[in-house]
Amino acid sequence: MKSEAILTHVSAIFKREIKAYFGSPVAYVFIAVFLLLMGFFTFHISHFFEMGQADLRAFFEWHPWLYLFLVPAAAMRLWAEELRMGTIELVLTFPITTGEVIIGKFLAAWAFIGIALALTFPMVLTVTYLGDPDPGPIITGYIGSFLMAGAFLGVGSMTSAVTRSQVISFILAVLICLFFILAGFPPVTAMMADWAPRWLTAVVSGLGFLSHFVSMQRGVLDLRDILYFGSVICFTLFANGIILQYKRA
Amino acid sequence: MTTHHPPAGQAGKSFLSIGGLLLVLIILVLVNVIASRVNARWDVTEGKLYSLSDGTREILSNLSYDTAIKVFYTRDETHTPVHIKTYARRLMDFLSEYERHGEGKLTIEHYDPEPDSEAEDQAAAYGISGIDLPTGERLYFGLAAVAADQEAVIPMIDPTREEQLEYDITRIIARVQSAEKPTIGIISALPVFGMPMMGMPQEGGPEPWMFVTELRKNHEVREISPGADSIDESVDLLMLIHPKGLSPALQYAVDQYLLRGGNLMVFADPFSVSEPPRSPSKASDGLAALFKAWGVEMDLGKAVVDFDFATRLRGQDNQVETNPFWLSMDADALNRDNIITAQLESLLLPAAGAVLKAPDSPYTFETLVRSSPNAAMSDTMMLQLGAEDLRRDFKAAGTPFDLAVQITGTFKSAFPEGPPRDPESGTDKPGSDEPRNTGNGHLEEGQGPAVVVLVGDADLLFDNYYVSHQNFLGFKISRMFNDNLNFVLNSGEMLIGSQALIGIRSRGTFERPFTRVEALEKAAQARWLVREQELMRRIDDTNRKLEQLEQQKEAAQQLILSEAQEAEIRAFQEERRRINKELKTVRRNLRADIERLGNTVKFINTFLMVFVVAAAGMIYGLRQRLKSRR
Repeated sequence: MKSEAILTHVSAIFKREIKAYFGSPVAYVFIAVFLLLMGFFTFHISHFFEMGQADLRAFFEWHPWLYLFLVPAAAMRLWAEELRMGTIELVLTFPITTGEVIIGKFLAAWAFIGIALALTFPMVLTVTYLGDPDPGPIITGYIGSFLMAGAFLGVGSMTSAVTRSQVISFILAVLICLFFILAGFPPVTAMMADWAPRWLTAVVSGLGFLSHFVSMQRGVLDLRDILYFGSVICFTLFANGIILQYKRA
Repeated sequence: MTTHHPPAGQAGKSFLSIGGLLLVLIILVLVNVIASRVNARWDVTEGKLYSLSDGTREILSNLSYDTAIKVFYTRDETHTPVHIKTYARRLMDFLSEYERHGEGKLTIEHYDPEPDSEAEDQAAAYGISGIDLPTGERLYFGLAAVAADQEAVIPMIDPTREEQLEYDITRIIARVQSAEKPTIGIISALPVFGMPMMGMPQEGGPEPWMFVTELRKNHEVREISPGADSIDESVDLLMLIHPKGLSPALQYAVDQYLLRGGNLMVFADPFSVSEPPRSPSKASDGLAALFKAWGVEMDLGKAVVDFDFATRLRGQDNQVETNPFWLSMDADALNRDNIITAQLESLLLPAAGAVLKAPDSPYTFETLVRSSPNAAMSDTMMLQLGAEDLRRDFKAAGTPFDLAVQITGTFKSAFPEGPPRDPESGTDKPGSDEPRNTGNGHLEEGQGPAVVVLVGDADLLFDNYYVSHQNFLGFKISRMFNDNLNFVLNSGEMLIGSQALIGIRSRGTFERPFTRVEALEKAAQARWLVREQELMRRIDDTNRKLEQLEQQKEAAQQLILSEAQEAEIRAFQEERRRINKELKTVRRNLRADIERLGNTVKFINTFLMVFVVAAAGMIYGLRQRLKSRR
């Protein structure tokens, strides 16, 4: 019974949030910018067509960098807006738990980004039209990208709870996400390898989003990568709850 | 019915604290640490591209020394050809799998040998010289495996050898784990080490056959006389070439060598065309007992006649004819999945026998070279006859014959009774049974799996059938005209490596080109080639005519050119300009379809969905506004 109640509450929040997303022009602008940049980077910077390879590596390699700005932008209003308007008190006096609200809001934002990601489907059609791609890496690439977006979103959701200013929330989220990207960015790990002991380099690169996304781009699903993104999401959402708790106290 | 809910957050308040957060962090870290020990990985790529074969993993988990793979690759993105760039990226990905399985004992190091850099010196020290690009830059793309004081190098990573990538890398990793040069023992009835001239000092005699010289570059090659009665423990690979008249003791030694886990290459020939004349029989003999133990049935009185792989030869009457006894095998006849033959294109087997698997053989037979179904077995006596005679009586078997196989298994001894009795000693010595069965380390069954590569021909090793030597200004130039030598070198290299190395299969490729673009390119070429040729011809004609006119002009310098002539020259010059222009257009058109496709694809992916989303947003907004007005 209890889990049923949780499900009802979470889905109620989810619906309310999703509606809010698509009720505002910002969502369409967000998705349009996302798609435009994705196409631009893939075709004009990575030269997808000129490389002549029927795979989506040139496309997926831009995802972390686009998420770095777009996901915090999508997440910044999650709590900051409620804090600013004072509606947070109202929300939290509903007969539902903070956890349910957090999860509901998170899932709605995640689904929103998922929709944006799904709208990149012409890429898949293109690559299938041009050549004979291996479907495995395309599927795992999308799974990896979606999980990584979830991790970015967790961070964004957490920072959004910290402050009532959306701009500060955005900047904080970008900074934290940038750390997570750079930690696994090959040039950075190579630089670290010059002076840091091997275990430290390994630990830091293990924290990075990129090192966990890279094998999924190749077509290898690793339980560890999935668990890693799951852990980041869990941790940031939990921290989100604690921050809200302290805000109320 | 009403349900009472606690005020939000209250239930979890004790848990929702900094302490709780730390606890969650610790739990999550622990879960991740535990999971890092579980190897739950799904390689969903079509050819399991990122899964190392068991052989490689075995070698990586048993590394004797810390090993470094040093990759020298020029990162200059602007001039490196695209296919090299893509391949380099895949190579790095693939190498990271090695690092993952190396459990800390294997590291991958990247070097970018920019001009005059330390990395460039280092590359040179490993013998990695790089290649010059048409733009003048030098491209380095090689790697070296380094362990203890050993090093092995792939000076240039060849993207066309992609299917052998794992084998090539694993092989050099395995090689640097031991300091010694492997030893190959050769027992041969053919003069492969060169034939000493009568009454002449040895060094003056003809040189060893080329394959021996090539093997000596990386191995110690040792001759074992057919009369010997033992095989040294230090021999890593044994080659039996056209085995004839082996002493029973040596046959027993070969048998025991295989049972100890040694690998064998056997070239058994029904009719050796390279055997010196005056030999009573041209067929290999003396292996019957061993063949039986290996589960092999081979009729050494018959050779394979194959009209699909027949070779054009000059016959005895000096007429060129296609002789089906001399087999020119092409890529279709070679196993693409086996490392030995995967990359080979052609082999020449003069009079080869068929290797059959005995019905009760418990061993694994893998075909390396196979005849076409349009083949039959024929008595070697028929070799004397011409192709016409063969064709008259020919009846295709309808099924192909194996001409070379790889036999793997834990073999049983061909001498279950123990070492053969010494025929010289005549009668049994008293008590000789005892040491035969138990003493001298006699093995009845193999200590582990071993591999025999059995080829139905020995002549393929003779220089004349794979290399032509030419003398050019005092330099001896050798030109390979088929893959016979590569076949021997590949087999040797693979059999000398550990058992693990033998198990590495030829793998799939990463390469997935835009087939549509390629098709467009081909179609455009077909469409424009005729036009281009025609224009080229016309421009040649025009040039010639212009030249003629110019000459006339010079010859008749004093004479004033008629206006008509001047006009003609002008017309031709104009014509030349026009054709040149058209030619340029034709050449541009070659790429036009592809460029158009590229632009369409770029447009769709960059703007089309953006328009759709923007339109959806606007429609939604308008509807909302209409609703609120109402």
